[in-house]
Amino acid sequence: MVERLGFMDKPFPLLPTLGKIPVEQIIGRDAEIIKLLRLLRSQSVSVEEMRRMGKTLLVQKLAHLCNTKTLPKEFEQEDFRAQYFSFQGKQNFGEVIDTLINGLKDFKAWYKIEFSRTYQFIRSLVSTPEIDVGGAKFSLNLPEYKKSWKEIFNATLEDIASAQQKAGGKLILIFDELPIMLWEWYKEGKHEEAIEFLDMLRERRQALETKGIRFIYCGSIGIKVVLNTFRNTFKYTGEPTNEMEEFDLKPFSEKEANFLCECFFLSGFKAGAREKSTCLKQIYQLSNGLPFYIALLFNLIQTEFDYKVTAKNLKAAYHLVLNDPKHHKVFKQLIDRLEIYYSPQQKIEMVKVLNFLSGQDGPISEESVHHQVDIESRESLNETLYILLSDHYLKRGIDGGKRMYSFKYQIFKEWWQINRA
Amino acid sequence: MVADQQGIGTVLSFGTKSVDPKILEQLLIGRDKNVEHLFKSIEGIVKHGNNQQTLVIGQRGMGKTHLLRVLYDRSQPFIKKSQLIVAYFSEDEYGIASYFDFLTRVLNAFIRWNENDAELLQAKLQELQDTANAAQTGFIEKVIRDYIADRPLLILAENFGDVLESMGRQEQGRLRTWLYENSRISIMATSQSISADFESEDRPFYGFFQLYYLKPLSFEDSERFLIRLAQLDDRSDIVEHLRHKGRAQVKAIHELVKGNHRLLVTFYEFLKSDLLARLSNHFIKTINDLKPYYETYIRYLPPQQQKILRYIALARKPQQGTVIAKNCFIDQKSLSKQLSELARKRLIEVIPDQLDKRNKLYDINEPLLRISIEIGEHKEGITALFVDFLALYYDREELEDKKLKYLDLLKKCRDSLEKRNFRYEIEAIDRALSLKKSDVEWVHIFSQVRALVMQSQMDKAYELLEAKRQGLSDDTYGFLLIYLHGQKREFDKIAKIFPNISAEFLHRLRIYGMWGYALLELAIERDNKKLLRESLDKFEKAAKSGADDAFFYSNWGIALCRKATYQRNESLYRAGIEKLKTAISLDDQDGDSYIELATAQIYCSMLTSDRQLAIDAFENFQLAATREVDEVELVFRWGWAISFTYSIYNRDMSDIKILKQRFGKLPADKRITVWEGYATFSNLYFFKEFFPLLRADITRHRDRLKPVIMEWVNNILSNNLHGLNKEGLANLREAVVHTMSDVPELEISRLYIDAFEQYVTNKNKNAVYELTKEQRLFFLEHIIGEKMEPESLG
Repeated sequence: MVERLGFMDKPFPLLPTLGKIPVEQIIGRDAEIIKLLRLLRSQSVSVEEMRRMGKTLLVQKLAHLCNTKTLPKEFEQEDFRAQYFSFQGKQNFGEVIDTLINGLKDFKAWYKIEFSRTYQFIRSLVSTPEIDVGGAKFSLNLPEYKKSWKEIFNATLEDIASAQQKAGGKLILIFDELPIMLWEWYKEGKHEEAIEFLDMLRERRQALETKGIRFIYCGSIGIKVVLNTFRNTFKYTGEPTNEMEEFDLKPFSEKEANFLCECFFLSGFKAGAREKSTCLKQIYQLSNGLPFYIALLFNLIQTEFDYKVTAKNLKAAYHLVLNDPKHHKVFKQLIDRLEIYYSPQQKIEMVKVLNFLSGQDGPISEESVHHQVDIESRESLNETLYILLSDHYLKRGIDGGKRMYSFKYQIFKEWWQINRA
Repeated sequence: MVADQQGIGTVLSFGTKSVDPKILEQLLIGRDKNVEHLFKSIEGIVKHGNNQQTLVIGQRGMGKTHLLRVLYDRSQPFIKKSQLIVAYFSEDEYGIASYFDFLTRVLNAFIRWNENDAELLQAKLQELQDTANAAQTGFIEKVIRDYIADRPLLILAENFGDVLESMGRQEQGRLRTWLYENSRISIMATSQSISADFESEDRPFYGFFQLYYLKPLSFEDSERFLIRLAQLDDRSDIVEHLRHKGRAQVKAIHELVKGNHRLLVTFYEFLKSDLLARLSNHFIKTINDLKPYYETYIRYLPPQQQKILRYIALARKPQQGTVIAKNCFIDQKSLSKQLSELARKRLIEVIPDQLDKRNKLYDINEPLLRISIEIGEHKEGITALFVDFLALYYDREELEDKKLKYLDLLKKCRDSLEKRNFRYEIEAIDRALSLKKSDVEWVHIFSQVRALVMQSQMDKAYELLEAKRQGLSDDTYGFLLIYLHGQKREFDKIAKIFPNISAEFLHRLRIYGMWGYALLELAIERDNKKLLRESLDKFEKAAKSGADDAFFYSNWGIALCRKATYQRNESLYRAGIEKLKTAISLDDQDGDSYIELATAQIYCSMLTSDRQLAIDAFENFQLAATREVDEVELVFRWGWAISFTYSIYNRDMSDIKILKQRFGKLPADKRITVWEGYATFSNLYFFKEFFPLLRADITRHRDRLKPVIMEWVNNILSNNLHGLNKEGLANLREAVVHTMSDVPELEISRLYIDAFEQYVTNKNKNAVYELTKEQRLFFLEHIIGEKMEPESLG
């Protein structure tokens, strides 16, 4: 059994919400965090999943546990610390460096050191002795520093790594929404900057890892999507995520889902004593254990069904989620992703496969998909299946030596079948 | 700053934010539960340490500002105890173009609503202004962080959809990052609708908010709301009137404003008026008062959307997309986009077309929006909108009663101007009365009939129609009967009913196209040229009465091409092709129109030797293959086109590969149907290409395919009297021999091939005597044919 981490002994009142929640109230993910930390002992990790699956909350909880020293004993020796950076909306390399340097103040507090190399370097660029790089009144995001961004970036990371090496332990740098930032750069024609940044990260990452630095790249579009686009469009050949372990975010366990529901119940939801356990099972089954959809169901129960959790109301709420255009917009990403990140031809084939699989009762062999879906070449079909698998639409199993495919989540399948197929 | 707090007069002039909160609390009718729910969220933030991200969605005038104002007021105890800090944005926070702008609005909101800290924050704002541009964002983040310290921050913001839109994606990304980097920030925002910024996967705020929809007030709520307004206005006479005699009017107003708070306030003024006063003057005044309010709906729309809205408003009934496109001079593709934008903004309503489920109709969502647009168009005379309003506002008896009163006043009146005014009122009432007699009833019956059809209860649908027949005119009864027969494809019955329907009805409902379609189906089924002519006549009438949907154009095109085939007439083909192309431009996803177009192009190409037409045709088959189509029809016609054109055009036959793949995906029964069709072809090349597939199918469906292969071989022989060389015959023989293990009867076909080679190729006429007498007669009659002149063998 997984040890319960940190502070979550008893359920606490929690109103359903979908956006950012306070880090102390992030529920579950204990097994994932332990698994992640075990991986981080030896390597950096890339966390990818679709949107609204809880990636950011997972890494924020991980950072919080590391920095409040509430990790299980088995990690005592590593002395993990973590710094969370969100790169969403950063428009250029200068802003990325600003973000990193602004984060330095936390390192200063942890390691009780000055960042001599960084300061020295920046002082050589800026002729003011009172420079405060960790404060708020200075920005490197100015055109005059552009030519030195790379050096500043390297010097900053070097400083962090040296301080880290001296202190021992492991420092995790979490780069949230890194792929989406690179994608936005690419869309704005700044792909050279994006590629340079990727190369620099790869080059520094391997050296820094030997000094106890670990990276987590986190994003709703896989870094693979970005890399494939760069490969196809710009003949990019780099392997910036080589040797990074891919981490697959799973749905909540039934226990975690029940804990979340109990928290919701404490905030005013009503359920008959007898019916409650059946409802909990029903919620887990309907939501596929995905916390976002659990919150969505509770949200509908409060707005449309007067906080009454019953089997009937849950069924009706689920029906609304799948059928009412006012509510099923959350699934629109299943279509949007195909249009935004893939070529029209790829999209057509992916839609064909999804249409077909949404009408099947169980997993279908690759062979059957080939025979029943109108995709000319086998190679192309295999490629399509692979993309859908790595972009988390599908899951794959082996049965009697055959590769079998089905929707990763039943709720996605049902939505697709009702609204798209 | 604390807002100047005003009384009921301010409510009546839409200034919610500066109304005394006590009055706002009293006017929370129909919104009390909403406030309770949202305030519970605020309690969750304060008492349970939760964050809440909520987006309240509702049209203009639904009470969003009112809600936020009440919530802000109810939060005061928490604010005073430093348990919560609120950044209450003003209603019209225009010009938030960046994340930095957003933060300055947060700071400004602190200054505006927190008198005690205003001075300190003002100083920080000054400091911010003196900071270098590149460092300003970091600075203001720090000011806000320091100011809120450990307190949870709640941002109350209106029109958040507009705020995000003006910020753009990148800046939204920065805002989201800020929300994720700071642990205790909640947003409770309002928006008129859900924009792409909330629902598109690549937008930072995708799925971020819990959506909370405000619903229109119920009739009971509207009534209570108006009574409460009258109470607050100290008008006991109106309270009394509303509770008794005025209920029907409340109902009419409620229907007219669709439970919209703000409009109820406006119509409260209408109710206040002396009910005996001339209605038209007062009505025009009320609507004129509303005009500026509705103009804001339209003013900021893109010109195309303004044009569409205006057109639909003035049309005064739901319109088809194609009609809108034509009248607004907007191409179909742009129109779809603009219509969906307007629907998303909830300015128009999308209604399924009861007559043709593939079509949609578009109407103005709020009656008063239409009325406001319309009033700008009619400066004088009895406006249709006033007549509408009268019809809604009063029932028939009241209207008749009013008419009598005005007639009475008219009699006694001496002043000529007054007299004219009374006549005006009387005429308006007369028109309102005639509107009430319109045939809306049959549409209701049609809905019931259609519902039964949808449930496959055809018998019950017929029964219902018969039961309701008394209440229907002959035209409507006939039309409903046509609808039911159409479901069963009983075109002969339909064709008999149409002539009994009045031309006015056919024209008004634009159903000439349906008549033309029924006749076309019959003409094809019976191969009847007269029916075809009648069908074309109806299509022309349909076009004159404004029919212009894809289905209509497609059928018109088919009919024209059919006639062209009878007459071998190029210009008819060309006309048919144009109609089919129009159908496709109106509905690009209808694969069947592509098939028809391709077929027509092949025919025309063969008639005119226009090679380009054939090339276009094959492209259209490929396009059809990517759309929803009748699979058998596609595979059969595509094959026919290849087989038909092969000997004429020496073209690259790459699409035969695609066709074979398509064929391979058909289920067995459909394949057999297609084989039966292919057997009528005579092209040897085509046969050779498909033979391996046919051979495999014969193994599985021997009995059904035995006659197919025999017929196909005969057809190839009989249609190629000059075109089969020794090699071709050898190929055909090889295929036949190869299949004989499953179909021994093919021995006869082999004999015919041998005889053919001798008789036709080697000109050895005695070869027929190698056949038995029956075989010989068949060979000479059906394979060699009577048309063959002996000398042509020479």
